Amino acid sequence: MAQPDGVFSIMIQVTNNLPYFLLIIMLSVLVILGYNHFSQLTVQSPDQALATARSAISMAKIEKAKEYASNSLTRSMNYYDSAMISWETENKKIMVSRDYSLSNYYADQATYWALHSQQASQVNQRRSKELVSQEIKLLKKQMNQIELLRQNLPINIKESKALAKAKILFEEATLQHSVTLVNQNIDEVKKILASLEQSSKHKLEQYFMDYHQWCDLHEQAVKQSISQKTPLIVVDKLAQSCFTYHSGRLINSYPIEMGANWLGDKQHAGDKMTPEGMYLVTKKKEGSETKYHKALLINYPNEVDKERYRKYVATGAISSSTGIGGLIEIHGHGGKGSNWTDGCIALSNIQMDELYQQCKVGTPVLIVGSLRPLNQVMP
Amino acid sequence: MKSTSNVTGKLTKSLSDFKKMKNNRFLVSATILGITALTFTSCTKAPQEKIDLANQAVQNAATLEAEVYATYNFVALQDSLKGALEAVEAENGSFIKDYSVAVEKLDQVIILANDVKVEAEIGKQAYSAEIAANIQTIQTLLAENKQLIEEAPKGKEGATALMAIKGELEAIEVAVAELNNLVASGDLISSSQKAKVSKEKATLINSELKEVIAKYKGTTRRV
Repeated sequence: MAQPDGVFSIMIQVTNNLPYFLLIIMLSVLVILGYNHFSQLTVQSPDQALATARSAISMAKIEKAKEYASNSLTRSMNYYDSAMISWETENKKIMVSRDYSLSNYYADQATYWALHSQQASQVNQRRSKELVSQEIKLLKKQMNQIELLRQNLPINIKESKALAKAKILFEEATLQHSVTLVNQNIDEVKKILASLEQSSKHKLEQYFMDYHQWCDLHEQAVKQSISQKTPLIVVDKLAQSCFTYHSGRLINSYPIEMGANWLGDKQHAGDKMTPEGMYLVTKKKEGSETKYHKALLINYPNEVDKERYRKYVATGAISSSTGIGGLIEIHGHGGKGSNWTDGCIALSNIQMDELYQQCKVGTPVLIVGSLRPLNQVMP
Repeated sequence: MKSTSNVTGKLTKSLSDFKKMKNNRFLVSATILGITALTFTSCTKAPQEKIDLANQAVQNAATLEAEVYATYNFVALQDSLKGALEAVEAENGSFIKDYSVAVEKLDQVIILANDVKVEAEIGKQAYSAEIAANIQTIQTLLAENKQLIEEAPKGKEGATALMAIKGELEAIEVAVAELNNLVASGDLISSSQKAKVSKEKATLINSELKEVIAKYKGTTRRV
């Protein structure tokens, strides 16, 4: 009887105390939950701060901060990562010892730098656009100047290609969205233009070494025309013009075309250069005498040309088998818009008719590089 | 008799205690369930597999250059991933862990990553197709322009202009060669811009040449 008695008494004891026992457990759970809730209220979790930072970083990325304010953005992203790591580290600790203040600090810093990068990106983009726009305007101006400069020079296929490349790169630069690529293109265009400008200017500067001589010859020729009351033809190669004078008075001017290598004095046969110096009309040709409508043959090579040629042959600059050339004329069939002759001077047929009438055999023909000084020629 | 009545009394008491115990059954069950739930939720582990999947999905999108070809949505995707990881971490810090919201977010990241991947692929394909079409057009125009140069008059605006045009055509040919290298290197956006410029230039030259030839033909007919 003692056994059932014992079992019952234990059962009865447990049953009687069970509510209290359960109450204690429940109270403990409530205390733990309460503490958790309380600790969450007092120790602020960084979730809100991190969400704000994340949103700011995304906005900065959309504002192209990666390209325009990369330092601040990287700093912000590093702070964000540090905040996450710190949060993770704290979460591994028991609740009582958790401290999210460092994580919150990092998250706030991440937000600050993200906002900073967002603003910096906007400012830098604006500045960059302004700079690029200024650069493009300057390049456009420079390109136009070089084209004007090159109009004064014979065509050089290598330089034409370089200019065409510069134009393509320039067009690309105006289309690019990436500031790095725009700057790359602008730099390359600048290099090409600088090289073209330098080479064109150098050629002209070299050519203008004879400018004073040209001016003297022009002055003498005009004086002679005044004193002898005779006609005079003056060819200005750089202006691509032919001027007619009578008794020292300017009568007319005509556009001309010359040899493809017109810049410089003729040296020898086949060099496609137009001679420079004082010449005379030696023969007037028309009808079957010329295939270029009408022509005025001049006395190239004159004594100065012959002397120079001899000197060049003697120094070996020109081979003795190469002739000095000849049959330089002012003739018709011009107006092609290019320098196409073998060294002659071409006018349109109508203008050649006019010129032909004004001249006779013995009319002086002065051919000079330019009547305008270099500073007026160079844009 | 005494012992019998004693036993009866004990039984009566135990029965009434048993009834009390029955009344407390609800309390007992609730407590046990609560403790079990608490134990289970406290021990719930972070959805690492989902996190890995989401990370991998974003990485895949990045490999397909989604940042370049689907810029805005890629930024949104990165933001979503970070948001989901924050949700996971928030739960890691909770006493009662419930990752269901975080898992939902991670699932959304995976779906979004696939969308972004598709968007990037479509973008790349569109660029590639546009570049290929432009290169084809440029090649055709270059061939046609070379033919037109032969036909072009050597008269007014002739030789000089033709020489300059030849230079421009050669510059375009060089640009096309560079373009092919750029495409091979995978820089489709720059290639696309280069192709557009070269095509415009080749088209312009083509129009100029055709105009000159047409003028020339008109003039010779009149003559």
